[in-house]
Amino acid sequence: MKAKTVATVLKGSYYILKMSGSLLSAWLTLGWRVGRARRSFENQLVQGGMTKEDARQISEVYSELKDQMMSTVKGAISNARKSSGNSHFSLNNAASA
Amino acid sequence: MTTHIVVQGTNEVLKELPEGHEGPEDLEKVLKTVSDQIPTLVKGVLGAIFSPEAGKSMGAAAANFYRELKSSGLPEEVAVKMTQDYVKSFTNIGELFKDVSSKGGFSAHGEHGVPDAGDLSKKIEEEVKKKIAESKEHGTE
Repeated sequence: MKAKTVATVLKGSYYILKMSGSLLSAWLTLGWRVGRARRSFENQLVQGGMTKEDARQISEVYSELKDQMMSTVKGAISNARKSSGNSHFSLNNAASA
Repeated sequence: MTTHIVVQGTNEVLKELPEGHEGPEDLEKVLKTVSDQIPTLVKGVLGAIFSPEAGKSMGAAAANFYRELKSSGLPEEVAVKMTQDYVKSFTNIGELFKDVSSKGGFSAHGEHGVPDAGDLSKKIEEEVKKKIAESKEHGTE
């Protein structure tokens, strides 16, 4: 029974690590992805007859979008932390009762 | 010490699970599914928004809109400002997620009741494409 539990904990840790690695790589390459998308976007605007400066100004939406996305993710993480804190509290209460 | 109490409490909860649910094994399955689905979902969303192809389509739509404004005789500054507002209107991620979730994107239909990340990222991609197509139509009107 104990060996089974240890195996389950190890497997669970492996999955969590695997997911964290993928998310970390996505986060690390986000700036690069945004830069590439932004350059393609600017090129199209310049081809459409806009000045480079104006195109750069409009392509700022990509940085804003990235910031918006990151704040959404941060908000979701902080909400999850709050709710897990509450569940720990209720489990503690249940155990002490 | 606190951890010990939490683990005790967790075990008590697990003992109360109905038959057919093995607790740690179920948790392992959920973790496996989540570790597969979440990175796929994140990559799908990032690919749909932050890729050179998506940038090119969005840029083409915005350039089309700008050209139309210019050809209708609007001054440069106004045309740029309007194009900026126009681009902002179809990169509103909050609305995008609302659209996807209202069409059942977040309903549980995948393995172990977890939403299928492939479906969800496809829906987000479809929404982005739809918005770009809509903006192209408005640009040519």
